Amino acid sequence: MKVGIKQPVLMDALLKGATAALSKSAQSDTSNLSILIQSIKMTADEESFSIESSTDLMAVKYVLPSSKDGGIIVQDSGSILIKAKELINWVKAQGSDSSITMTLNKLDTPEIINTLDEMDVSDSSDNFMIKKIGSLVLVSKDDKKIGSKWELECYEPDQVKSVEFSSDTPKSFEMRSEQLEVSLSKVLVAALDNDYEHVLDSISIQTYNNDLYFAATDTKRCALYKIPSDSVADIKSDSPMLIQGELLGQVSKIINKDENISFAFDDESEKVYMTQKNLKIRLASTEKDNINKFPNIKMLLEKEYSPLTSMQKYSLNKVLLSAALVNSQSALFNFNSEKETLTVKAISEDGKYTPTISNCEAPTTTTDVKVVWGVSHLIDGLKIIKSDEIELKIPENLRSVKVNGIDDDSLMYFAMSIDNPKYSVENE
Amino acid sequence: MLDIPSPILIFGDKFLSKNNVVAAKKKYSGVRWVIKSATKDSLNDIRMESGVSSWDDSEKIILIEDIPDRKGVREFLLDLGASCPSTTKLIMWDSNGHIKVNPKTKTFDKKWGDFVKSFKKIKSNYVINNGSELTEKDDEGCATFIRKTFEGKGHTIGSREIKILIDIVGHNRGMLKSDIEKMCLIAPKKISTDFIINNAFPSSKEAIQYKLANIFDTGSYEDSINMMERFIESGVDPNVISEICVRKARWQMIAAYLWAAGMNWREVSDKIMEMGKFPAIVWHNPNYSASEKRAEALPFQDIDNMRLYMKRKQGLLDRHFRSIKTDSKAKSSASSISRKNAEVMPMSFMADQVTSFVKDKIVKSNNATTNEGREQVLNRSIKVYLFVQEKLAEVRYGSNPMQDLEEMVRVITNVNLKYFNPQTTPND
Repeated sequence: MKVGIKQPVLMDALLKGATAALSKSAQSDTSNLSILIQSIKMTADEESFSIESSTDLMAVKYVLPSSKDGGIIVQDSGSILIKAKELINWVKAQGSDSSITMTLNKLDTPEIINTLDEMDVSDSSDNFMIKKIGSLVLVSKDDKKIGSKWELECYEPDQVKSVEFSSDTPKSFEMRSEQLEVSLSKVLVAALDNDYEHVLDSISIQTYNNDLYFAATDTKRCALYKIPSDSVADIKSDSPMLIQGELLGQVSKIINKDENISFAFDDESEKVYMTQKNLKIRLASTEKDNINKFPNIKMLLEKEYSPLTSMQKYSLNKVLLSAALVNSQSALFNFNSEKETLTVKAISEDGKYTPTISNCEAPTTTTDVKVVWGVSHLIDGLKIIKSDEIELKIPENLRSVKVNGIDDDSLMYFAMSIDNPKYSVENE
Repeated sequence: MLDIPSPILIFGDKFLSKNNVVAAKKKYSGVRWVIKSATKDSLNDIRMESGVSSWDDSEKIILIEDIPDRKGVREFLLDLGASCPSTTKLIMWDSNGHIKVNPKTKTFDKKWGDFVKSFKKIKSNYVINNGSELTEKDDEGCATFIRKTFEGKGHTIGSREIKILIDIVGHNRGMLKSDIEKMCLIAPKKISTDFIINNAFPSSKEAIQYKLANIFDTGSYEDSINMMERFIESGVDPNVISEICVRKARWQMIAAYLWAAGMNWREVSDKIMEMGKFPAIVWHNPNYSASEKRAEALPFQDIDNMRLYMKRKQGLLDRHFRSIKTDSKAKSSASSISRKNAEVMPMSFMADQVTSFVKDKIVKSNNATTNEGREQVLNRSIKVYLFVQEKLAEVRYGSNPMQDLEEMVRVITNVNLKYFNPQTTPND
């Protein structure tokens, strides 16, 4: 294999194609196959130049046409496995005006690398050995004739099976790529960092009335974001998807923002396929049996919430921060319709602090309500709502509160009420 | 609705308590478990978690562990237990082991006793008391526990076997229970000494000695080597095993000497049991019965009377005694000063073991009942002892302890007197 390629083209291709190999799970792998897991497969022929990497959670393949105009000249076809991190670090160190030549220096006979120190090579099974086929000679040169040369070990490419990005799976929907990052920034606040069932640390993608929603919940609150209708096209499936937020976060960083991205969900294999022109991604979905553990957004969207008040976000945030000093988990919210005020009282459970009372104006308060809500839950909600004025709505049973910007109903934030007997005296 | 009471309080033996928690997690694995530390998590957070329900009203179990010894936390937990909503099940686990019975007063510590008493007044409470951890001082309690556990599974066990089991497994209630449960799967109706020695899992420090000695006494080199290798693989230091070999050889030499001196086998066993006991003049007085020896020796067991005895009966002078400086902790309990014991036979069954080895494996199998035979038996024992003593030094200071150990075992398990007779060869 011999390829000449412009540094920016190679760097971009590596950052996209090597995402799985660079992921935390791959880089922290300590198994005897870690070399393969942390490597990328690079393939070059007359038609195309591709970089791919995969783990059990994520597989990525980035393909570029081999053309002089695109900055890629393939002199000899071939395929190799090479460690991603080391290659990226070297390519990064070369200037953006450099041209890089990669040449495979093949061994006459592949060398067996025994990854288990104490194992006798002659006696061990193939599963524990990695075949080294040679080294990739990397040479860079820029306009000012500054050059650099390095070599990296290459391994037999057939040792890693290329991921098949199923073309049979029907497309579920297509959306503007920039919306993926926006959606995540809106809803991830309500997800847990880690959940072993991958329900509460995942993002649910659901449809309702031909609209597409991203949702996240930790069961105590829920953030629901409606993708603007002009950013979504071809909604063809109403099967809910549930994908780990961390995986979607990685994807949002590598997709081409100028191009739409299509989603396809294969519920049998529990895989989500995301496709752009040159980029193919496969993510592991949460297990089939657990997908239904995420609440159906229909339940939230159809629940009747009556307006309680509309107020300045700044005012509510201020009283919340004061209450959080004493108890960031729960406080009593007392809305007075006559005075149009909100009083927040926080009591410390361990008696460490004396109770605090803060109040602010709550214009257009429709009814007198005393209810306990999570202070930190509401503070988190206010962080993702961009409007200066917010609206609070409550259901008849007062079991939750819905918060949204007064002129923006695309983002809805729900927080559950709390049953805290410490405040029951105040309620009576 | 979950069919478990709430709140539940689990305390007592740590091993058994952990088993309760693990069993509950397994049984209710379909329910969401939230684990909170009453030390690391704030009480505000625990209150919020127990007071907030999820969107679909699904039930959850909150496990509160790591309960600190703080009045405020105890009061909080009682309040929480009494006011928790019905959709939340509370399990409080005293994982730090604060709630325990004082061995002297046989009652709970007052503050925790009051806590348990108040907890029992909470509606629909359930208390799981796994009993206090057993101590080395509480042999009686330990024996009762072992007897009852065996009886509960339809087996009977004698006090001698109970003592051996304690010596092998130790005083950990959880380890004992787990071992008894495993043994009962294959145990005969009446538990025998051999069954305990062969099947109890060695957890105490003396256990290795029992297990190894038992195998050595079979005279099988292969079995002894296998057992020794198993101990080494599981982390037992070769020095420990070499010391066991030396001790074993020494005891055999004493038994052989006593028999060669004309004692019958019963007398040999009894004599070995008196070995190392103070004062020797009492224990080796042929005119005293066993109970008389115990009564006579009793007054001389404390340090002052022992010194008096040595001065008056053995003619030692004051200058022969040296005061040893003790640290402040030891000064506060002068009664804890005790003499350094000589080597004693820990249990009578072990004396029987040693005697029976010499009798059955050496004397009978070599037909060595004549005076000449007695001499050969003693000669063998001395040679074995000197050999293993020499090997002990090599294990400690040499470079190949495994080989030295194997040689020690080979000699100890060699019961053919011809090997030890300079006049003959084994092939004669």
